[in-house]
Amino acid sequence: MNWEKSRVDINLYSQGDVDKWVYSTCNICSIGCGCYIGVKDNKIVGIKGNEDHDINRGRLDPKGENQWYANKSQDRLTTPLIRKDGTLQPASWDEAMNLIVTRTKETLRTIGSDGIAFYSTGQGTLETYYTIAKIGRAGLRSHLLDANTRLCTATTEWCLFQSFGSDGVPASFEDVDLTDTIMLFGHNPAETGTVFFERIMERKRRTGKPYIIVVDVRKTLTAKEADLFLQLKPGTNLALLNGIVHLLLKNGWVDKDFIGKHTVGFERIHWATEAWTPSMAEKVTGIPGHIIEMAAQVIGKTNSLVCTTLQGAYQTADATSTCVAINNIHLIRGLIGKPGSGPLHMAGQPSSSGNRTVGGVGTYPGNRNPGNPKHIKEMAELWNVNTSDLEVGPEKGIEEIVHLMEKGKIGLFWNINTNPMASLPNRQRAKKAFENTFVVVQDPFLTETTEVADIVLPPAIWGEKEGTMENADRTINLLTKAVDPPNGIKSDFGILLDFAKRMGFKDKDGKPLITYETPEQCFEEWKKVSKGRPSDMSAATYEKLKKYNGLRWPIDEKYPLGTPRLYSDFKFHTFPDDAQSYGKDLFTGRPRTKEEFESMQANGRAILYGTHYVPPVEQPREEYPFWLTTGRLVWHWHTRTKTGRSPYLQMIAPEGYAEINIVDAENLGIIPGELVKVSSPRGSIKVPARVVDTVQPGLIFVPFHYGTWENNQSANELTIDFTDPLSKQPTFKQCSCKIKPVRNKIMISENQTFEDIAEINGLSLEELAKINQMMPPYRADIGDQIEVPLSCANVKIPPYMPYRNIQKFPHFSQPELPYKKE
Amino acid sequence: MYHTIDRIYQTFQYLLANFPINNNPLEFRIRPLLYESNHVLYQIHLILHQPQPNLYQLKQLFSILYRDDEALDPLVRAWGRASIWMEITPSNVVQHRLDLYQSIQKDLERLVPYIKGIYGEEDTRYIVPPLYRKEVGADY
Repeated sequence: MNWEKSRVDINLYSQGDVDKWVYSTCNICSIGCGCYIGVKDNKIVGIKGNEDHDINRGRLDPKGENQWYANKSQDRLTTPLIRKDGTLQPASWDEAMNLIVTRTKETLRTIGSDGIAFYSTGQGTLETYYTIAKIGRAGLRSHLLDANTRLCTATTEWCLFQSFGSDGVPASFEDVDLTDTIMLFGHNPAETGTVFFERIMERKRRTGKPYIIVVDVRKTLTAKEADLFLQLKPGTNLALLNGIVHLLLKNGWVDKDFIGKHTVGFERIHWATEAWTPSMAEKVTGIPGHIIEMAAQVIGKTNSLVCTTLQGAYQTADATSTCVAINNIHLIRGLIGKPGSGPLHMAGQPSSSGNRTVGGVGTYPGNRNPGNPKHIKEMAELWNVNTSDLEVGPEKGIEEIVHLMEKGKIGLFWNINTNPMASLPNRQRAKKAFENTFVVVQDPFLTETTEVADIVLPPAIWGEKEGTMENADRTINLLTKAVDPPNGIKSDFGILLDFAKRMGFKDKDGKPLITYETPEQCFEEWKKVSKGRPSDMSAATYEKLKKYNGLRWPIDEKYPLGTPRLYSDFKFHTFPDDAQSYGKDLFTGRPRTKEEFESMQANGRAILYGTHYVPPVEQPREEYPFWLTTGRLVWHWHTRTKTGRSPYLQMIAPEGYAEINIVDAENLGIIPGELVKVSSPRGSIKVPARVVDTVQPGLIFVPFHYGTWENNQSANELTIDFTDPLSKQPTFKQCSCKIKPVRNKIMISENQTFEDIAEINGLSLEELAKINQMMPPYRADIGDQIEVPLSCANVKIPPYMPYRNIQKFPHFSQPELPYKKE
Repeated sequence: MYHTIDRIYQTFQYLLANFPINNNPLEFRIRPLLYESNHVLYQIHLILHQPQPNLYQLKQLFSILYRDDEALDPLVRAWGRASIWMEITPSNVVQHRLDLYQSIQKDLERLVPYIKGIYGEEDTRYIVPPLYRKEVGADY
């Protein structure tokens, strides 16, 4: 049972009572917490958790509690903008939409359908995504439909295709409440999904279960609660898993009956992991062999197991192979489709899974295979278009689209509710590509990306529109409209319908391609499209979703109230005409042909793979001796377009920084808070240093939330744009860098002492001595050059830990370090 | 068609003869794709020289050839960037290599009309990925 007690988190700023509380779902992380939006005088004035919603029982993430400040932000755009003479200038909707239509038609004429690319989001509604799919695939006949989900959870999709034939995470949060063991692999829910983590910890405190294994390169807040923490070297996830699987096989901790009946390919695992002895795994991962043995023993003997993954697994070398290796573990142990067991590959955003499900990104709607003629025919019939109008083949990832933009092959790039100029790796390359392309940006605010836009369209935000979202465990939640958007603003859904109408998209009988007018009508059409497919929602209605506070797909005749876990019958989607994809070669990423897929003869059985470790492409070396990794803070969301507009969140974490281990800081003479320059072969940033013990020696961590074009704090000035060969997800988590303090040099004059210089620069004597590598008695003579930091900033990031008493258990903080400022 | 296939084959022969360049981990992934493409092209050669080519087998081979190139493209471009950033290979060597890969792509595009001629428009869609089939799209 989840949650012993409810707790209604509320954040309200209203004089007098609210007029109404409107049913909705949190629009921040992927957990999918139920909430109510407080409304007074047709304005959003607060939020409270929905205590009847099983997922959160009233709790909210700190970002979720503060998301509504963006709605009332004074700098919201209220009119479209068109770039004229180099600057964005206000325009009417007619002007903007007609220009998009003109540009679209021109592109279709000159470049063709593949000259138009959509790049959407994981924060929209299923109805918006489905409409993107229908317009993009059937209207424009393009297959370049991508989204920021590529940066977030594309690996989830691909590891599920590979092992089980279809998207859809097998386990759900209910299994987390039942499991004996949970492995959080590259997943830091204490900061990225606080309600989910609180759920785990609440049960742990009450019952002692589950046993928690955490795998991470950083000693995260999550790791601090682990029973077993495996702190590995960057880029060695797969080496660790191969080491664990080696021990499972060696000790016979496998379910031979399950393997024989429900899987194919077992022999491949044996061969691939044979060499991965504990000593070999230790050599590569840096984790002592006996700790790896301990982890294998727990995993090998547990009666139930849930493994979660997130960006530490996805945005890294061997991403899909790593997640497939986790699927392998569940399959060879027979721990899938049973209460308390199954892989739970997470999502990062509130509805990134939903975009995949309905075809706004990735494959065709309803988990249909774009390489299967039968599925293309089905879609053509459902949409009443010619089969030849629907392009064959899966999507291209954003890195590939950027490459097409560089070559001038994209005539129109339509960017919806995402900020790629802050979030894409190696962003200077991306910027040049965007500047080379006609770009439409749909965003409520001016962002780094609107700087390269030709047209900006202002859409409604959460609370101002209705629709459904799919969270990380297949739960479909409803959002209802609490207030009207400000004058002059349209919903994403409305903008797309307007575009379809202006383009005059028709079906093969000459009738309008899109006939629905409201999100609910769209959902009803989607239900027909989903029928009979893995993500069947034919038995769902808006009313039911609200009544039951979300339902997990499939929601069909057999399971009218949804399905907590998939594959409880051990039948997988691996018949060739059922599969969502024929998959790819796990090592090279080469797409398999239908015949190759058929030759595997999985036919309803899960597929096991040999997983082969490949080291990260870029590694530390003499010129760039450190690893760089990036990640999130509990206090901010993505590029802070929303959370940066909450005074509370912005005050807690106002600027970027670089975390460096105490030992490295000492070696380099870096003092806490001083300005440092972090450089990689792509670029450099200047941020204050946070000297901590949470990153291992040799590793620098930079949060990716920050970075306007002016302030030079963007982690993505540094990151590499290499991608996983299967999922095409960028490897944000590993590249090389160097770090050095940014300092002024001062010459000691006859009227100045060393102590004077320390005082003027706000430093203690010890700090100044440390910077200048001086020993007591700190003598400096006239004419000597003394280095002082260019600036110092006290970078304190308070932890958010509702599951424990932070007074009793203080988080590691900067002032506790030996080199503290007085 | 024969001439184009022969040229692609020669290019792969050259690439393989001069491989690896710098032992970057990306080359581990590139290697099997080069070998497979080379092997497939050899088999295509053999089939095309038969009096009655096995069109079903040929279709499989063309499908693999294009999919190999689809997988190679991002890997090779990444390899180019990595080689420059890591300063492990002179830029002219990297560029020459990238030019060769690009020439293969161009030749694969040149093959498309022939493949359409054999298999027809609809079947070709399942053999050749979209970006190799340059066509002006929807007419509105």
